[in-house]
Amino acid sequence: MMILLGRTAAAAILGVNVVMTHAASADHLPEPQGKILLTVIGAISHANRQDGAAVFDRSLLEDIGTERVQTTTIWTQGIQTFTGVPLDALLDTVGAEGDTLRAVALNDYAIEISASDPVQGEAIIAYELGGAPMSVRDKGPLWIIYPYDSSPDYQTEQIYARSIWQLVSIEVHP
Amino acid sequence: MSAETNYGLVAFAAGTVLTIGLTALLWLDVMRRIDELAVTRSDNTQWTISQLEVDYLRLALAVRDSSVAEASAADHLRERFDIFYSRWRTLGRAEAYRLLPEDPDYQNAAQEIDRFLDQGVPLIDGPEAALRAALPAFRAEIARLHEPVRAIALRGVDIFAEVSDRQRGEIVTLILRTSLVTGLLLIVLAIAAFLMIDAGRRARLAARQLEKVNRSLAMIVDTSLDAIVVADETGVVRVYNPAAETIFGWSRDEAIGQPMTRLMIPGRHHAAHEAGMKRFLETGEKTVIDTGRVQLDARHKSGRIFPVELSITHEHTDEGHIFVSFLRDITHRRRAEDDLKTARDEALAGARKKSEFLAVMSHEIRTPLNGILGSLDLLEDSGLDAEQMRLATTMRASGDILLNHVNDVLSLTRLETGAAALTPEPVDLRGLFDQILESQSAGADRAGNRMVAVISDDVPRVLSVDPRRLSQVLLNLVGNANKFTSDGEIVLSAQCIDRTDGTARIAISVADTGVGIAAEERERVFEDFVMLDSSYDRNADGTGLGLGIARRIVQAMGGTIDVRDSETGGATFRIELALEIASAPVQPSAGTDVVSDGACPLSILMVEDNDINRHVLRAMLEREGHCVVEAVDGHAAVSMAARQRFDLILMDISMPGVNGVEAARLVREGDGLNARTPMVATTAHALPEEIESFRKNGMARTLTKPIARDALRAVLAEYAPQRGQKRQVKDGKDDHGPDAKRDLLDFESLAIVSETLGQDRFQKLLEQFIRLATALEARLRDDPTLFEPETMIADAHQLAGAAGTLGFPVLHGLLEELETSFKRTGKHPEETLRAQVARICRNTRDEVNDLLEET
Repeated sequence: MMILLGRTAAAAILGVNVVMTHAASADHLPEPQGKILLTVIGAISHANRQDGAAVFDRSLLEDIGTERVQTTTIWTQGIQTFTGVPLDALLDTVGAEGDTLRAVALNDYAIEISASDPVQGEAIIAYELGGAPMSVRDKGPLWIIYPYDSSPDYQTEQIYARSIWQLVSIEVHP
Repeated sequence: MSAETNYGLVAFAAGTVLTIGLTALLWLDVMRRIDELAVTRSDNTQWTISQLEVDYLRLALAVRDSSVAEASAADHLRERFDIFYSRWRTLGRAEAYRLLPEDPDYQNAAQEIDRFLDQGVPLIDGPEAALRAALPAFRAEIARLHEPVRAIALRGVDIFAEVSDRQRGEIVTLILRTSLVTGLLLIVLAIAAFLMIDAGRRARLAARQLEKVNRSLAMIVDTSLDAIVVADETGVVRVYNPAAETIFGWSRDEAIGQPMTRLMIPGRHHAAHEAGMKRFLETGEKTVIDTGRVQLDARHKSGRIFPVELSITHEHTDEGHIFVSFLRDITHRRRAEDDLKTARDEALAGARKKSEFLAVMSHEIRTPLNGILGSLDLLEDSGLDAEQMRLATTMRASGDILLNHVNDVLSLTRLETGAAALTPEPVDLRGLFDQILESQSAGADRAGNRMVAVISDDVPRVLSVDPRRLSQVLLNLVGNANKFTSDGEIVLSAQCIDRTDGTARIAISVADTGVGIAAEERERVFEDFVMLDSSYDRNADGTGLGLGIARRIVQAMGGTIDVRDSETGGATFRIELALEIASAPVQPSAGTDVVSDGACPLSILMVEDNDINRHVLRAMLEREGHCVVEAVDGHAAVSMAARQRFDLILMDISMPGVNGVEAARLVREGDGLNARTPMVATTAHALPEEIESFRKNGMARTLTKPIARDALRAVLAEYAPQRGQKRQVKDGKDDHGPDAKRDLLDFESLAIVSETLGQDRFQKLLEQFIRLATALEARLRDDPTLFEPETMIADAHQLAGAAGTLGFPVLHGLLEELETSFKRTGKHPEETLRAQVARICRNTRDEVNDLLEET
């Protein structure tokens, strides 16, 4: 169900620095300690809240796995290094059962992402830019980043539209 | 393919290449665009710009709502501020928005927003109390921000709309351009396709033409009557037509692929053929190839060798050398040629036999005829009475007619069979004419006619002609003239009509003042056996063949003869001949009676440039009996002097070119034949100094012109004793001249004989002599080709004996010469000698006659 191929393909792509850490598989998600950055609701099988949502703080996100993407973006200057959690890994963690994701931002900007889209394989939810966490003003705390430089496939309006910053929640729809 | 077509095609090809290039470039551009479009370096700009306003409004709302003293309100405000802030930064930093800062309206608005945010940040980030305190101001600021934000949004919309439109426009243009060029390319390709189709069509047409031509050629080869065989450089037969099958016997299947040598060339020629082929291939040397028609032997399949005529050509193709030969079996032709040759040889043999027969017959017929006539002569002289004489005369007349008939028929037959070949020799026409007139003089006297010979000066002195044949013709003509003219005049003339290098066209005419020939008869007279009636008592001794023979002879000489009215009323026969001018100096021929070895008292070289003078002087010299050789100028004199030894040289002084003095000097110098020959100068005026100079140059005597006969004789007499031993016989002097006749008879001898024998027997002896002399004369005047000389020589011998006894020294000497000549050569003596002897015979006989009459 989940795209595992993307991870293998990523090794051949320029400008992508992949750092793999093994995610701790958990049926039941640990509870967050710090400020909640991301809320995942909808068709998921692992939650850590009564209403069936999976909430994450910074450390929980880090626990899932870390990936670095080195790329330029149309909103930043020069090559920047984004550190974050791979979207696939997150979806695995929450046991997402749906394919359609609705990502919502602070300012109520929402975008639909098709999780099975091969492009999605390389998406990360970044929480660090250049080694430092991103403030809201910097489009943080979470920003879905794609390795734009690696392929023209990532340089489309659709992908830019999916590069939602100030991300607060993801709704998984079947 | 014409040059224009070529240029057209080249231009078209260039155009095509250009169009393709252009299309390629455009498509590259398209590809670039596609690439560009594949990615975008901007997200939804319109959205972001309008979202700025939304975020601003939200911020404004948050500020208003933050008047409620709630912690969450402050957070919410901060959040909204941050969102607005980040939105604004995006606009500032993002690539896509780089256009914006350049716009002046935007600049102002942007500055205001920047200022607001800068001011706001410390407050937002600061403690809450401070924030609360600043809220009213904040609110005011926010309100003021409305304009710039809106302005930016609107401006942004405009700009990006422009950009978008321009991009679209560019793309549209690109697409249009590409379409056009592609369209053009398609047209070009269509034309190219059309051209190719057309070329294909033309090629097909050409191929069809070629095929037609090939078929025609194949047809020609197949239907050719000659064998056509094509071999390659290894000698293997490649093409072999049906005619070859017929000629060589090998079928096409048998021949193709086989070496030609084995099939068609006789074994014995194999080596030569191979060698020749090898040589040609190596050196290109052609002996049989490309040399036209050659006849060789070829071999039939059956092994039979037969002759062929062939022609080989050679061509160098891509595949190597090929040899094309055309062959024709010429067996039949050879055979026909051989048959022809055989037939011809047989015909020639037949003709030869015929002429031999003629020769034999002539002798057989003429001998008894001569016997009859000779006896008749004797009979006439044997004292007949009148009746007998009449009968004898009748017999003679008939006999002469018969002899003439026989001679004419034989002449004619000889001319017909070509047995009478012309033997041209250098002849002096003047002398020939003289001789003819002389021989006709009796007939002319009888008819009371006067005969004149006129030769114009421009007639070359020496011409190459057969003197006997020409004489025959002229004798006939002059004889006819005498027959048909009485008491009239006959003119034998010669003129030079035309003269080119070495050839002169001469017209000889015999004009009489006789009865003439009617116009309608003019052609007929030349026909055989035609004799025209005349009102005069004609001499019935013609056969009617004379003119026919004359015409044949003239035609054999390549000339023409015709008859026309003369102005004087009679007939004029005119002969035109083209004769070569003989370059050799004339040895006085049959016409003149002088000869270089023989009875000339003096052989004289006469050098005289003037024709008339020459003629006159020659006549004078010859009258004295001397042998004359002419030279027309000093140059000729010198060369003749070098060639022949003379007893005397008469040198005209005033000559153009090398004059007489110079010539004399040249002859004297050196050790030529005539270095010591006496020379006499002839000149019109001679001063004493000149005479002296002549003498100094070797000319001992001088004769002044005009030369008197006595003076000439005197000078000649001076040199006559210096004759020398080379001449035979003749203790007599001149044999011709008014006083000469007497010298033919030695009266002392005669007297002795007369005394010894007595009157009667003496007379009889004289009469016998007369007969013999007459007969011999006749023989001597006969055509020597018609009989063998033995009998004549025997007769001469007999006559010589009589002459010796009786005392006719001149005759005796000549007759001995005649004998000697025959003993030496076994043939008839020379014409000149015979003529001379004949003349002396006659003269002597005449004198004896006179003598007899006297007694």
